[in-house]
Amino acid sequence: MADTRDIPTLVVEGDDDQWVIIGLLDKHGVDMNPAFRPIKLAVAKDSSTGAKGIVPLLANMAIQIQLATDRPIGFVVDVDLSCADRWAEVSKCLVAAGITPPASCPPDGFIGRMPGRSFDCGVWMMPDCVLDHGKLEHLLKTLVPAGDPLWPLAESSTEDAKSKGAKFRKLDLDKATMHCWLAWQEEPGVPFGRAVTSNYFGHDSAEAKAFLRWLKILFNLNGLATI
Amino acid sequence: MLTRVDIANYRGFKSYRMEGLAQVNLIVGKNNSGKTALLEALNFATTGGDPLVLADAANRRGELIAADEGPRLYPDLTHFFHGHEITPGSVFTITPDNGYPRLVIRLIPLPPDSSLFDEAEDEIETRPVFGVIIEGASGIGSSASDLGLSPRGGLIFNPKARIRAAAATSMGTARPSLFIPTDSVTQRRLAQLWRQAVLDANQQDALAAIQIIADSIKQIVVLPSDGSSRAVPSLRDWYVITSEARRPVPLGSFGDGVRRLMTLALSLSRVGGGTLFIDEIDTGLHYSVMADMWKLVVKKALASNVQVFATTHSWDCIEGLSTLCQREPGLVNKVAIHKIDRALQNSVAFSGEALVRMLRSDIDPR
Repeated sequence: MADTRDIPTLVVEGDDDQWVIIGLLDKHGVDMNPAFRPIKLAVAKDSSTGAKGIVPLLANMAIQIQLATDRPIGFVVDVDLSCADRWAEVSKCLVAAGITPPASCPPDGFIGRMPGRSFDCGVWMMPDCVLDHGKLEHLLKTLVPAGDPLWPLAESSTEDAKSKGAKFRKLDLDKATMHCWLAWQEEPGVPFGRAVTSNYFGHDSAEAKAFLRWLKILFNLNGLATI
Repeated sequence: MLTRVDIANYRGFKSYRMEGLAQVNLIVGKNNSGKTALLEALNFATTGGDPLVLADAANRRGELIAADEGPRLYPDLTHFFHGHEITPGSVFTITPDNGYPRLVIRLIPLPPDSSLFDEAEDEIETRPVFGVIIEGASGIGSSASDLGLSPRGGLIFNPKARIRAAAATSMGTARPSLFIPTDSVTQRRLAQLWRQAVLDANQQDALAAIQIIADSIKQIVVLPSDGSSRAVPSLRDWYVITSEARRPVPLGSFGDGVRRLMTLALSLSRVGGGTLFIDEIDTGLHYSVMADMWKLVVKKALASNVQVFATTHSWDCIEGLSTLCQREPGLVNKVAIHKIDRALQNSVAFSGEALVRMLRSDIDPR
């Protein structure tokens, strides 16, 4: 939706991605209040079908890069199954925007530029631009406090539930474990983003810092002084 | 139809290209990005380099120079040149495609027969110190003795060239081209458009247009002259017959939107086969009528073979065009949206199909 201020955009796949990233930035000292935030986050969607996620994100990536004439723009995609396959899909979009991408995504995130432009565009592949089978939950897993006594129980309970017929897809095991663990917090069942701002999750794992470093460079986020 | 234009050393643009031009073009960009300047350049190009287009543009912008004595004002040509600086040899160029001539506007030493200008005025400010030639033009400016430039940059027309151009226009040699500024057109111009619509039997177009926002209006009537000497038609002569009032209601009782839509419809009828330029097309219009306004513009442009260039700052206006393209997918190839950013060397153009995708995904092209 139109914003009353002209600020750079970070495009993400879903609402959880949006609120987790806002939570991480907030925890690292970036004021994400809409009146002051240095970047805005937008969930990729197609209102005609109601679809959110990777399909509308990739469908519009080239358009959004071309439109970002006077500001940087970033995209956060889940690796899902194969890092190489997802990068190949992203690369097609970059090529459509006139950018020549490297053969694989750099481990510290991709940052490139259209010819003749003064501002960068960037792509981060969740969780760390390297791992296969990756998505937001894998980054969140690195933010579970070390030695948390409930986490192993949440893992074994979720696996047990799956073996007894729980209907979630095996692909979503980490997501189910995460929600199981969140159900046992002081306020049960808060969404991922609030779990970051409520300190159920930490915010400074090496993986989270690597992601924030990419954001800092792409958007020149001076608020991330310690990253 | 223009599909591409290159501009050099013109206003804020050192070098700029617009391409991907379609039948109906919506130009977006920030304040002071040069949208109106580009409309004016395209207008100049589609008239084959008519310097009256430059004079009108300067007049609208208030870029005028007063004579040292007397009330006359002259269009200030200085600002058309990149950097606002002129010297003998200064040039700006506009290079359209598809058979329109390449226009090179060049300041030249005063030609020997410049005494022709003496017939215009004898005030010192109006005496040219440079000549101005428009290479590529066929009307005024094509000859070195047609146009001059005063010491402070005021554009001076040789009166004989004006007479020659008026004759050419009356013979219909010029391609039809109209520029509708932000604040619409003067009452006099609107009346002229109406007269032409009556002669062309196109009044129904204007009625259908204003019915978009005021469907109670059933008929437009213009009072016949009362025999007074008032030669300039006024809005107070215009009435409408509505289904809601027993007596005719002054057209002026309706808001700016009615006048805007009338102007759009009448202008589209007037410039059949030519080009229409509309600065801030959404002026005076509520967001809910944008799709219908665009339907009027696009359908009429296609029917009358008019190429349209419009600007906007309004999200609603952009969304209206996208909505029309979704309702009528056959129009997506007739429409383009162009983002202007003067920091680049070219506009960023998208088809109607991309426009639909943008708006479906809440992507703001501005």
